[in-house]
Amino acid sequence: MNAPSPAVVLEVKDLRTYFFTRRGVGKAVDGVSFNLHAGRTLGLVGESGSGKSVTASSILQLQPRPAARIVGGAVTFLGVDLITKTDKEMRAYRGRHIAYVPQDPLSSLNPVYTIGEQVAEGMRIHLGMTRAAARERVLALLRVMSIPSPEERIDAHPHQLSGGTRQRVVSAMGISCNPEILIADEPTTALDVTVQATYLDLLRDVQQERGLAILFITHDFGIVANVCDDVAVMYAGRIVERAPTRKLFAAPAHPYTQALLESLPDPTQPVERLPAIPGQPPSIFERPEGCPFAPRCRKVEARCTETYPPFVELEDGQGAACWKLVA
Amino acid sequence: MSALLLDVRDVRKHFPIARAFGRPRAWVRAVDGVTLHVDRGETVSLVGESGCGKTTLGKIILGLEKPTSGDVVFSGGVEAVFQDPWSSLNPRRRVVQIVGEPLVAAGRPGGGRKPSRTEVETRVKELLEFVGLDPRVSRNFPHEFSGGQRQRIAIARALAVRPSLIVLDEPVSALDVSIRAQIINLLRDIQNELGTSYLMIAHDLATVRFLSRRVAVMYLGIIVEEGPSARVFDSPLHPYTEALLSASLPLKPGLARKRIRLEGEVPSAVNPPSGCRFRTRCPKAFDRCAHEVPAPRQPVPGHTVACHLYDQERTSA
Repeated sequence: MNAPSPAVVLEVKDLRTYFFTRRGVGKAVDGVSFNLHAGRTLGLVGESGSGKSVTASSILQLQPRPAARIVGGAVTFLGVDLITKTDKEMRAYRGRHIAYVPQDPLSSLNPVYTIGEQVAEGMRIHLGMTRAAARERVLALLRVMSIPSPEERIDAHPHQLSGGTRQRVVSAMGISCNPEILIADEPTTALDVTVQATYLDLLRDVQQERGLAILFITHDFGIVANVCDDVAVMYAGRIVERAPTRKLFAAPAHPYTQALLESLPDPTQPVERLPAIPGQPPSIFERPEGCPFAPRCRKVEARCTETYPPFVELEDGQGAACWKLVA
Repeated sequence: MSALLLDVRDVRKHFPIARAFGRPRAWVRAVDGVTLHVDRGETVSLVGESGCGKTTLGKIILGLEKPTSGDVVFSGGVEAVFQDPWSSLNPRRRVVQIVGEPLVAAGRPGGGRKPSRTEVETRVKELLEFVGLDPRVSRNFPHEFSGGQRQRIAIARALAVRPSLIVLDEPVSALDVSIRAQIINLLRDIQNELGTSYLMIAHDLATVRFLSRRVAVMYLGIIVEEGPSARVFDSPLHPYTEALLSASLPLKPGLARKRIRLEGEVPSAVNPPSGCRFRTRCPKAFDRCAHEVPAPRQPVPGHTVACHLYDQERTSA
């Protein structure tokens, strides 16, 4: 495992995205840092409200505006600072260098246009391809995505396709301009298991072929275990633990990760009751002082409720924000 | 110790489509001959992918759909808990009204007298406490609760009239991971304490395995395999079950089963394939599968499968 570490294509540093509403300021993303590497998949896991989706959308400045604003931090794509780019300037990056695959493929497909027209659009704009050339390329992409009878499907409208095929079309759109990064926001939530498995296999093949860096947003530990090379666990707007996937499952360092993994039903170890985590995650408007997991943590001590713990680097690329790890 | 509670015999539900001059020209065979039973105090799960008919079967058992043919024999009350606690609770009603509604409704028709307001309130408070909520929240509205709390309210409501069966339709899949275990434990506690039976419809196989005594696997309107949950998960008999299990992602790295890739998509329930419905995608299909509908067999006592691979002993005997 001592191969030279693959190139960093995206650096997110101390990113902060806040919601400004009548209820007050919601710190949806509150100091998130991570790197994406070429050819590797980082899983960003967390529960609803943990800030994982807002983190992903902030990278492309697609956070829900006007309520959400990026108030701090840096997003650097191959040396270029993206945070200071205007919306218009960002268009040169969205789709071209950083593609986004949403949870619901229907929301990013226009019902009025054919599949072929929509997949071709990015290539016509970003790569200046002619209509005929783009159509050829679309056919090739549909084949890459194992879409059956692509010559027919290319002229179909979104509603004529199954959910699995639509998700593949959106992914074909995602990789059409050969981006360096693919952000996949729970892309398989709406899919059946067998369809999900096929889709994940495909994504892996495409990644290996093209050296794509993937940021995979999910709440599903099955996906994390089987798809991601590295994992970042979010809780209440921050990354509480980061580790290579095997390390995370074998020796989780943060009490939240530990408790989450223990609470999953494990067929090899039948128990009468699952070790559940008491309570629920805090709302983004009512974050407690100190560590936000402290009220639910079985290892809580006095300092946890006073100050947010520092992020402690451990061995083998693992790290966690917990006072228990501070000597 | 088993006592039959629900007996579903050869139930079919065909929905008419493509009406021409008021007469249906085709039918969607959503449920197409399902036989299944649930004993008192046990959990039976229906698994299968979109369009397999599990939701329609659940609705038939709840009495929300009338079967086209077949019998549903059942004595006792049945209630339901649905997937989405955001849409299943009326946002304009207070918790006491939501949870108490089945009590008021049960008191009205026929025999029972309508319970008084204090009786309802007392019972609602008991129920809230039983599902782990503070009984003082009974005047609150659904939007004041988190997803997990809402699912507890839905469960309290389902328990109000002490049903002998609860249909659980994806009871935890909309909940956060850290909340799921709480609700799974609650469901198990209720069953241990009250002896309630569950018919669960779910796609998360880890949850299904944890909660169920028996599992029935559905494909295109029929049950292709049914048996004790440990047996179905550890030694599946039907090629579709094998494929389904091989596609589910284990919750630890490096444990993935060898993938069985299914070709194509699920055929239409309007025109299911002749013979075995799974044959068009089955990696083990042979001649006979196209011509003959496989009858359910029990190669292992208590473990039923509908597949020609298990016919050999019969035909040679």
